[in-house]
Amino acid sequence: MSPKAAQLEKAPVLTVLEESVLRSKRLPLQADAPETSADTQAVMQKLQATAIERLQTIGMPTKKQEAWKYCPVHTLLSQSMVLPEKPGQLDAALLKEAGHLEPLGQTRLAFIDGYYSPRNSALPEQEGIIALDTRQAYAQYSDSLLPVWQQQANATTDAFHAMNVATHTNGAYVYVDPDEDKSAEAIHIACFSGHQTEQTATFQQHHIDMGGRSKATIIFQCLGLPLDEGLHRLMHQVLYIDVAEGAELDLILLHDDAIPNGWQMMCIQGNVAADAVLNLTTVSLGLGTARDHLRLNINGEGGMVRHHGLTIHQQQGQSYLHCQINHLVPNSQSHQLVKSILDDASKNDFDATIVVAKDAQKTDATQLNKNLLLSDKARAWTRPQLKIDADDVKCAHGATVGQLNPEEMFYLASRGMPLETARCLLTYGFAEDALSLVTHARLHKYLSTQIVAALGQTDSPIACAMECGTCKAPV
Amino acid sequence: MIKITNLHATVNDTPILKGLNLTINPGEIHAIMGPNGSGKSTLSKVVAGHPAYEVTEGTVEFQGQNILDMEPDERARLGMFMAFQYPVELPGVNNKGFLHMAINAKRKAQGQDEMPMEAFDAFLTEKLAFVDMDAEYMVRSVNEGFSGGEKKRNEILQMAVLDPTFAMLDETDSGLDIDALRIVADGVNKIMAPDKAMLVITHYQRLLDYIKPDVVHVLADGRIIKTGDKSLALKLEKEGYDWVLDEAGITTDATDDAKTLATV
Ligand SMILES: Nc1ncnc2c1ncn2[C@@H]1O[C@H](COP(=O)(O)OP(=O)(O)OP(=O)(O)O)[C@@H](O)[C@H]1O
Ligand SMILES: [Mg+2]
Repeated sequence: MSPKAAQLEKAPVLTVLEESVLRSKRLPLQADAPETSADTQAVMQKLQATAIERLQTIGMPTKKQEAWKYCPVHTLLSQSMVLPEKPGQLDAALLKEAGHLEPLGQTRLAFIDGYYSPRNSALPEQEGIIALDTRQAYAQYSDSLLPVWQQQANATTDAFHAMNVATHTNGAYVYVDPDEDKSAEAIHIACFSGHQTEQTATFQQHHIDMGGRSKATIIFQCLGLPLDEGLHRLMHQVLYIDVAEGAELDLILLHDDAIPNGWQMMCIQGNVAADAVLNLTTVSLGLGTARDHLRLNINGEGGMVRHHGLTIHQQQGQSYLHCQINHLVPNSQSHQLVKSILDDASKNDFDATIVVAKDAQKTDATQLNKNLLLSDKARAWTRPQLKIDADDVKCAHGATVGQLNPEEMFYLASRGMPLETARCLLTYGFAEDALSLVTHARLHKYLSTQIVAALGQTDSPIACAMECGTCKAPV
Repeated sequence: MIKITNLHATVNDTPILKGLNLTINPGEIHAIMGPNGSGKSTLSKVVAGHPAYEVTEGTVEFQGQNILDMEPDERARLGMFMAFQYPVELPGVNNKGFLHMAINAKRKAQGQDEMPMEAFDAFLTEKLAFVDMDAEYMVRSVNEGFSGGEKKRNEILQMAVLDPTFAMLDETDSGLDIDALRIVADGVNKIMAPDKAMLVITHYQRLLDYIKPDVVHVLADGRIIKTGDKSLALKLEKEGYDWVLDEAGITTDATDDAKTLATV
């Protein structure tokens, strides 16, 4: 082999996306803090180098990989994107109109294009909670953040994740002190896209750390706003969750992208300790593409993960869930219920595995995926999987793909409901139990409103009747 | 009020109704009895507009208006109602929200203002008392996990809320305990008025002790084969259907068997 050929072979072939994103050489956390100390800079340089090396080892995803089988990621990889130089203008009027600016919690951390937005945030003095943007958090608690990033940089198997570690800007950091019950007031994390004239990629890292026996309710919005037609956009989040012994976290994630070329990706890494509970609700709406990569480990006996997912798409909207729940110890539970409602040419992919390790006896796990197709062109792929190495376990899984039941439609029609209303009511009914983990009334109302709107029912009395229904107000 | 003329209907190309005639005037309660599978539920579903049934001949007029080209929801908003023999469960659809939407759909169609939630609460409380139903059922999904009798009671509640001009009750008495039967019948009687009409499908004349019919019909083989007054129901209860079927020249395997048995 000639030296030149050898060199060609060694030089990694970068996709257009990688090339354009890595060209800036912007260091992690640098965007939001230009005057970084030399020490930090050195640390970040090392972190970035490790992550880029990792990225080159893994290579960008292809459709040949099981985890990306149906996802048209190649369209994204061929895009040239920049890391936004500054936050774009936030279209607050639009957000308000869509009901996204409801105050969902006293503590709020808002970001625009990956930049912390103090104007849209609120961090009241509060006993028992630390809520900061990660740049601030790094200044004070680098010991708890840096090892996590380094671990990710060394071990991730997801190329976007590696790219995130290498270039992430800013994010949310939440720590709840042991024994504090903060679940009554939600903590609100919002990631918005601002108005940009170029194609942008935003990478953010978020940490949620629940002290032993603490409780919290957190809502995480990821909202992509309209852009000039044809532009692509990537919003990539890594969310690291630690639920310590006996703690309980209710976490709600909402993806909503207004543009067909809007990509929202999220890597969630969760660790659930003994007797701890993670109640995770993921909701995916809008016209773009959402991809959640969940890896949840139950590391302690008595630990439990509940995951409810709900996807509602029209047009070309699509959602991909790639999920692994690992039962690593005896006597743990996981319960997963993921539903999709697909209209027009929208798509949903459920690719989820429950892994029960050899020692994880007495595991109790359920996994159910239900898809409602409202059009002939909609597609649902469903791949529920169990990998069980223990012999004394209770595991059940299943999947359904169906359409609206004509008898139910007739029943509603016979009560005078117009076709569209009946359709909406039944699809809402189908969706309803996917929200059952959301016990916080204000958040439940917010999500119901978003879902009713996503189902195309904005006619207020009808929406109101449905919401009153969901709020279960007694007579 | 309702005028059905020479109605023929098929399901999956199988003829079920074969030239049925029935006229019900305002203020009247008609009862329909008839053997299993004779087409009673089919009749009510065809009149309500179920899309699985195809009308191949005949007309159905409601208050002088041909309704066969109308969608089921339009018919309902005109003031027609059917209580289902087998009420459908609607998982995730909250009972109260559903009723609120149903009444507002009707009010909207009639050019009335929609009823706000507060007013509806009071209204619903009154209707619940009507059928002696606990408010607890309102926070549940429509019919989901309801017992057979509870579902029937819920049908009557829906009727009370929607206050139809013409209601068809398809075996609403089946599955009701004795007290529930009386309560439901009381409810029906309270809703009944001189400008309204009802069609009550039943297998048991007991119901007709509570809901007094003006006319009793026997439906068999897709047609009305006999019409009489309340005494017809009593006679059917005592003697069965053989004699009416014989009169109409209808023989079935079942009746043949019965005859054979009788002669042995
Ligand atoms: N969707 C359908 N497909 C095929 N056959 C049907 C369908 N619906 C009704 N039928 C048939 O039509 C006939 C009449 O049924 P229908 O339900 O009207 O009877 P019915 O008089 O109400 O009986 P019952 O007293 O048992 O309620 C039956 O033989 C039934 O099997
Ligand atoms: Mg019947």
